[in-house]
Amino acid sequence: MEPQLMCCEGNRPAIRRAYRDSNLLTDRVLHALLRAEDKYLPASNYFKCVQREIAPYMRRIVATWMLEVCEEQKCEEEVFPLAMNYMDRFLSVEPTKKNHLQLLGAACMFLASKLKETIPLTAEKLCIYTDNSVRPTQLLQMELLVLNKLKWDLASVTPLDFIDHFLSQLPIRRENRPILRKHAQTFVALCATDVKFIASPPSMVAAGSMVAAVEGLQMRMVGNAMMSQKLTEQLAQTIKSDPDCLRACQEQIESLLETSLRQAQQQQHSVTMEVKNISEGQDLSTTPTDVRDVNI
Amino acid sequence: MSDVRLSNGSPTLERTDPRLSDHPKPSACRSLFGSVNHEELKRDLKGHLRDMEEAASAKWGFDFANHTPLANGRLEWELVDCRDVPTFYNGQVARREKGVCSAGNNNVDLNGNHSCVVVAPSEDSDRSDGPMECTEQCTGLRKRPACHDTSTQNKRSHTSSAEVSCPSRSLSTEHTPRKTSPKRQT
Repeated sequence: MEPQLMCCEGNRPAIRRAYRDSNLLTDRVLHALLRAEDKYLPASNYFKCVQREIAPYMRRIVATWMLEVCEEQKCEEEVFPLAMNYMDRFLSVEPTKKNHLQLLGAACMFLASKLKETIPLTAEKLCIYTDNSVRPTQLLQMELLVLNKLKWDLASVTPLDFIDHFLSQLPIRRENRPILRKHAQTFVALCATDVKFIASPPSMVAAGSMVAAVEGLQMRMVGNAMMSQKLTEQLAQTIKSDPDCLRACQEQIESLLETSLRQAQQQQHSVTMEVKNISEGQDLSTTPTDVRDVNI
Repeated sequence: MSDVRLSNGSPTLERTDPRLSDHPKPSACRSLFGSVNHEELKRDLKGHLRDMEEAASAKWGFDFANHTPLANGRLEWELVDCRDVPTFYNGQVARREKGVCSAGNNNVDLNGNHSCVVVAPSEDSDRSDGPMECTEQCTGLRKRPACHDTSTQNKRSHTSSAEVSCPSRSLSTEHTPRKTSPKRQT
């Protein structure tokens, strides 16, 4: 007899997740994603061509805040990149006042959370995060405006959509997938905060993040370390891009990481903290007790 | 033996616990770009919403505020019995309770569509369908945030209205009229 033991920490019922569906990792799906992604790309030059008051550094400020909120609220990983995509797409078409940028960011998180989460963020909570500088009614109106400008098409392709495809294609040991996924996700979030990646196709950001994650973790994964070049070539082929482009993207990500790390040493930010963890190659899995192999 | 499961997995790798109800940390609660001028914001948002409504009105040839077709619209609107439309459009199923939102710019429109569609029979006045949307927007407290029908509509027709995809109301409108279009009224 092997009795099953269910170990629940805390009183809260866990969120039920669907099993990962391998049917969603087929080439057909991957190609559909590649075809669809361009449709959701923001305009790269909206700071110059559309916006009068909004400058790149403001986007970084609001992005950092959004990431902080998403992390504190333990949002699903997709929420932040998706919200940033909404914001960029909105800013690509609608001149916005600097004073309204935070409201826009909140509305984008609101929408992304509703699209992706079982228990979405509430308008009230988001308003608290703006230090009550906006009211729920205004958030809802902004939400409608964003929806309108995005033509109600919220199903953006984000880099995270590609990560699992890559993981299933690359010769990576199964037990290493979660940590690689986590690192790649963190890189993706990092890229979403940086204006340099606004116009990069999500597949490119995902592949660059993947390579950066594999390289960063290589030491810990002896046995399945691929030659970096080979990995880049394979992923470039997967996303139908040029290896040199991918290499450039990866380098950009790594230098972004470095910059963030430097900032992290000066000021302790949640984002950068996490990045720091990655760079040090620490085990991110903080499972308090490892009971997976307990014999009963 | 190894069947032991750890419900909370590795929290850092994948989130399994529901959203905490904790209050936001004060450090994350901040106003990023100085105080917001509420008068201005209100005016701006109002203006945008009005624009959206006007664009929808022009697109559909329908005065959503007053639930009436525009005089010289290119679309013909007709009343149909609510029993003739798929149950999805029929209020009870998909829609929530009706809100009485008179205020919002958008509110009426939604209903407008539905009502216009459904008007004919006895209970034309306010379709339950329409109101719901308004409710959300007007009240500001979204009970059920998500269900603007519009979304569907836009997906389908989203090429057409380059400038402004019509706000919420349009959706129901769009579909219904076409489906039943053969007969016309008004």
